[in-house]
Amino acid sequence: MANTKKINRQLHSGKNASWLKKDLKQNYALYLLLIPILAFYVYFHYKPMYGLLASFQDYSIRRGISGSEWVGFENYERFFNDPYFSRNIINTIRISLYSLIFGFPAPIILALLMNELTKPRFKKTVQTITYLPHFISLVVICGMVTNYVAADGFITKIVSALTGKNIEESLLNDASMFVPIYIVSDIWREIGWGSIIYLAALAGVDQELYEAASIDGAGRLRQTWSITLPSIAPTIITLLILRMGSLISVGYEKIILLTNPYNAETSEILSYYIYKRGIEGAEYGLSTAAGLFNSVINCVLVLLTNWISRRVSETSLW
Amino acid sequence: MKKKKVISIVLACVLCVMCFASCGSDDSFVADGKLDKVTTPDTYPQDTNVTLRHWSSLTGGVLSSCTNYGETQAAKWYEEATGIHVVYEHPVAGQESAAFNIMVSSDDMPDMISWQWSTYPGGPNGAIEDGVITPLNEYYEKVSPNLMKLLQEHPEWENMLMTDEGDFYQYPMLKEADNLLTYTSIFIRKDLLDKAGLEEPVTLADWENVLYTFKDMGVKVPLSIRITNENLSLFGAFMGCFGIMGDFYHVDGEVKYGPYEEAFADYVTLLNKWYKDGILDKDFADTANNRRNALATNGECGAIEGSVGGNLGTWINSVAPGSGIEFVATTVPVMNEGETPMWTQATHPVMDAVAISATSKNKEIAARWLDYAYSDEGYLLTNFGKEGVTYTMEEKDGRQVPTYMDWMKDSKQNGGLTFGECLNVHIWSSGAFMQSKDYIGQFYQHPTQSEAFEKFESDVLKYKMPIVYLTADEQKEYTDIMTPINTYREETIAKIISGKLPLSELDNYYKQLKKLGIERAIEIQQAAYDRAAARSK
Amino acid sequence: MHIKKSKSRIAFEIFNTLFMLFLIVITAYPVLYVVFASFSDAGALTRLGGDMLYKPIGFTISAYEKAFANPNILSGYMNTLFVVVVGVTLSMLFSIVAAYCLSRKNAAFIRPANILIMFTMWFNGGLIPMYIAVRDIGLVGSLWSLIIPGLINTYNMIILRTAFYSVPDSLVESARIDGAGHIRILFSIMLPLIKASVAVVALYYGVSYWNSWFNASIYLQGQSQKWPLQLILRQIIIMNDTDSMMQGVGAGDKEQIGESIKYAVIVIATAPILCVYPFIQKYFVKGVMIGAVKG
Repeated sequence: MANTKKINRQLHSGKNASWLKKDLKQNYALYLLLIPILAFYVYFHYKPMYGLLASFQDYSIRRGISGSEWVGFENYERFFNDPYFSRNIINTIRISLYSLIFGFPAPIILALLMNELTKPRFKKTVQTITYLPHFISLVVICGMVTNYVAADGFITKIVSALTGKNIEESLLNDASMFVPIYIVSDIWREIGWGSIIYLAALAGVDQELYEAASIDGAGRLRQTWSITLPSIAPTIITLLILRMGSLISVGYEKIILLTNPYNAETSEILSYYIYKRGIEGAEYGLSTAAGLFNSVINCVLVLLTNWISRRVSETSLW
Repeated sequence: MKKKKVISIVLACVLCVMCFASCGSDDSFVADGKLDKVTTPDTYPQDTNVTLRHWSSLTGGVLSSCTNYGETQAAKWYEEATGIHVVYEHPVAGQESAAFNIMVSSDDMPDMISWQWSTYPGGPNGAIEDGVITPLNEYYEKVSPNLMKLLQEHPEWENMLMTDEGDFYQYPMLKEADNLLTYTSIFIRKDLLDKAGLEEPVTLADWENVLYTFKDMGVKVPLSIRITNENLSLFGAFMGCFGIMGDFYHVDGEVKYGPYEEAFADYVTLLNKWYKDGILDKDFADTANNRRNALATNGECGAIEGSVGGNLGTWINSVAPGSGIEFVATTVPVMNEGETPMWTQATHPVMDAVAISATSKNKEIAARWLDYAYSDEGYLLTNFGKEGVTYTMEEKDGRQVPTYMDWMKDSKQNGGLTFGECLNVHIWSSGAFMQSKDYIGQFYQHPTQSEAFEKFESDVLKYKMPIVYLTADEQKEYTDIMTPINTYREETIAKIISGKLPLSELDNYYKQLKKLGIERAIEIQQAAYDRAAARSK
Repeated sequence: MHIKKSKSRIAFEIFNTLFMLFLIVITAYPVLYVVFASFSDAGALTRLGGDMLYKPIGFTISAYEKAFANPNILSGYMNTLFVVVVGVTLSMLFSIVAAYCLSRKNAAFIRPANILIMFTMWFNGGLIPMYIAVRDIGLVGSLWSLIIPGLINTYNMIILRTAFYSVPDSLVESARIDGAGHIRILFSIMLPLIKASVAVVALYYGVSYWNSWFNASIYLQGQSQKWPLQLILRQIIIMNDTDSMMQGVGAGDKEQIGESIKYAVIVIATAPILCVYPFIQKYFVKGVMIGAVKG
């Protein structure tokens, strides 16, 4: 019994060894190239990760990780036991999901539409101008948004005319309007910038395919559907998976600029709440715990999406 | 053999325990604050070749003329007077917290550190126990005669300078008189008052009369005040009329929380009425400065709350020439004629400034350097600069008052600076010193601003919480309670005032505060208050 | 080859053009607003409170004068230029090599390496450990601290890797058989095929180096001659901020430009980037003929 196992193991490892040898021999140049890359990641990403231990500590900046007191999961308990915890999570996910549904496809559609423009001059102009708002700071963009959705702002007037309701105050005072305002202004600022990557992907589509298709009599729509989209699908899917990896890390910078007590029930998100807590007391341990919670959820979501994607489309992050 | 084994096991256990114990509380690097032998004289300039390092943030005003405080005339004069060389290290403006964390976590702390020590986890005592700063009792007694003299003249300051454990921990910024404590007020449109033939309002009834008159005159927003959490705890405009403050306060030693008092409902009811009647700014929840600035300066607003420096200064300068818009500061509203207002925004007369780091090798010299500012010569130097260069003594109200010279106010003569910028490089505006009562009247250039400071009289110091410190555990519990309460309060009150929730929701509001643990928070504050009251060396 | 356009095609093109025009208007507006505001009189801007702007009100260049009066602004441009040029070059080199290696699926250790690297996208140790890592290799106080710690951006690297995946294996195989090594396959065969993606990633790196200021505020404290432009500009905004609640600089000061300088700073910081875009754009032209390369 024991003998067979041993032999088995020997055989196995022998097989392994030769396979390993072959791989190393074939790819040693590749691995050599990879060494500095991995060294970079180990030194600048993995080594500092000990900082995450602070989330299990009553962390003192002066005493550091080695000198601070261990408190187990206390920071996490405090974080989860907050009366607003679930509201913050739900709001965060709501914003993320809507932005995924509307904000994610918008640049793709723009890129496809730009692709259909026939005059190169006009196409370049559109590209150049639409990408500009990305460079305008959030403060300025949100200042504009606040103004246009104020009681006498032009967007308010349009909404008022469309819905037939008489709106007497800022749209931001309406909790149900917060997410749409957030998403639309995001698209406004980022659509052109976001479309660049897809334009690049479109440039890589093999032109012979189109020629073959039009000889076969396929229309433009048909070509878009069966040539263009599949060609840029890996890019789309990869970005989608990565996007899932930030599902619950909506930043608070824009929230600060748009939130008010009326819309707080939909606008107050996790990161903003942590930021507010930070004002009361500088709690390194607690904010590290919140950050790590974010990371874990995001990581799980990516694993999940990646798994699905691998089944369905054969595109995978690893 | 067996014995040996037992001993080694025991030894190993002891070692382990020691290891763990030392992991938890390694006190070896905590400074004890002992000063056995004084080696420096009481006279200045000191004879020393030590170079001290001073970590402090650089205010915007200084930043526009130099990138290091050491370049300023004020720093050079002070070095000359004390005979001690100091190099300044500044965090990048806007990134102070990150820089502070990195500095404190390093092995290389400077000799002196300017920081808001009350925001350190566990307060100043936490900073002492973590080995960041030095307890200064012995340094106060033995090498700080000038500061000690001031403390004898103002015994009420001593308590404010001390941790609950009885340690002094910093060289403070002291405010010589009450006119330096307040900088927020309600400003009303003088031109509108004159047009309506009304006096400046004093009582709540006067205010209602004025505001409703403004409304009838077609003023779009008769009153704009901010009611967010931060603003409420700072300055609740009309709240004092109802005998409550916006945050924690105390009445004869009993700690109360204004928004949990019964009278708070009356205050909210009033604001709700004003909102409905079009008196109160419909967008009061939007506290963005550019909206408020526009409101104040384009003539849509009748009365508006803000700071005398930043806000009023901007408004006066931005009003269109010829529009006739003119602001005047009001006294704090009261319920009945002749009453002293209960409170207004006010800082404590003692503010956090400079501590000596626990790792400093030159604590005594640092203490000497810091103490000089509290001497009579240091007082004049830090507040007014050099006589004949930046100020002259002039007779005013029957006494000699140091007065800034005119060239400082003239940008043609001072090298293209504004008066504020010019002051910032010649005198101190922050740091460890005593700010002069004669400074503020000269600092503001516009009469409306200077006059404002004569209208701030109130009983605020009677009711305001003293400087209290929560223990680290209390701090956690308190934050866990107050963060949700603040969130809930801000949302609910705004909705009640604007009628999105009915007034009857107030009952539920009190219940909810109780449920969220407000009474425990009051208890924590009470305990901290009691400790503060009992402080002694 | 000329194909007669169908009616629906014409309708689509009209709609598409109109839509693009609409997009141009709404995305050009904030940019024009910022430009107009930067030339406007600060007082008038304050009174306006953010309402629509169709032209500068009370044309003045004082905000720009104030900004350019800062002694560090020139060194700021130079530092930023250095960081962008050197940073983009090094980042591209490392990212391309990394993406190429990680896209070679059939080597045994590539998948673990991929996982190892992906993992870092979600977990990081925070500010202080990172500072220590940078300090320990002696980068604090040097411009290299703005480049080395962020040499490879994993997100950008993944985009490049996706592009490498899109190149047919058969191409690499035939090159292999011809005796080409990895370096040659990478630089002379694959890169030309994915130049559009390379251009995009270079743009991403360029913009992020150009806009970054936080690292400088941590690693280059007290050395304002080494600061990049963006950090200098942030300081200018802080200097002229009149909104602070405290007893700030008050009235009587000769001129308040706090309101317009915010906008001037955006123009100063952004204008150079905009000039770069057309160069990137030319790589987006359609016309890759993979078949032709193969043949």
